[in-house]
Amino acid sequence: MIPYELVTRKADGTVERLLTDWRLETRERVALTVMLAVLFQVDANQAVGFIINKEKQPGVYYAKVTGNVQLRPRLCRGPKRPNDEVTFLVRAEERGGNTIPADAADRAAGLMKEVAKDDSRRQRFRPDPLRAK
Amino acid sequence: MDDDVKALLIPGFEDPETRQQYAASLLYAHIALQIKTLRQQRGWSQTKLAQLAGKHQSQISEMESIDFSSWKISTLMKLAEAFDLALTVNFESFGTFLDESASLGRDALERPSFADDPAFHGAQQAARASDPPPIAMVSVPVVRKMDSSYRKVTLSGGGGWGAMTTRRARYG
Repeated sequence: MIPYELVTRKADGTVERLLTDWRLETRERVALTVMLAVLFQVDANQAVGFIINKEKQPGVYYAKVTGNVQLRPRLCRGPKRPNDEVTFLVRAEERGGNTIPADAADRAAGLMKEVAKDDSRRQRFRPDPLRAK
Repeated sequence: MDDDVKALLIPGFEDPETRQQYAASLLYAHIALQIKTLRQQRGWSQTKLAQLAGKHQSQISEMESIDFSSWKISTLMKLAEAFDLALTVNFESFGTFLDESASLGRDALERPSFADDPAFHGAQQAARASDPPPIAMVSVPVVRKMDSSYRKVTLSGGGGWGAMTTRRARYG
């Protein structure tokens, strides 16, 4: 599957990419990189349940990234080609069984609709080295 | 896609500690993904694989996740037996490991069970396609039992009670 990431254009003209610009410690960065490396190579039937898991909100999933901190970014399949691509929408973590931010899935559901209307809100994830803290 | 994956992974392999973390995470992901892929290749549910491997369905579900890391050789051997495959474990150079880690597509992970393995059955299948089915004599294991009360001899073999010691059989 081809991973895409949400891009946020800030008032000062800079662009922040959801995954690429996520500041992480080395262990989490390795886990995130491995997750993406595998995601690049699997089809939708392999990915669901293995890398991405369904949320209550239709079309929204969370990815498992296990390190010292449990990263649980929210994403959607598609939204245009759900069998071929995913779009990462919200950075999230899991601590003590709680999701931070708690409304990550709801936010992702809203952003999924925005991305479906405006494809410029996302970019194909490029395998630039992810940045460490 | 292969180049994307290598471009993503290669920078992290420069640092010794980090490349060992990559090696562990990619190994766990590889095992979990191949188990899921082999199960799907055979059209099995997690419950069926669990039954064949002597596990619970919930354990198979956990093992088929990218974040599962509590692997045991004994468990992998049971899964190999369930899939009718051999399990291999190798120490590899990082270069070879990187190549394998960039080859996790379904085609690269699927394996035929012994019954469909062309290394063992390819010649027979080719012969079947071109020649009439061969006729062969097949020996059937025989157990002679003497019932002392009735002084009756019974034979047991592939054909059940009373089967002949040898029989003509057709392959195919």
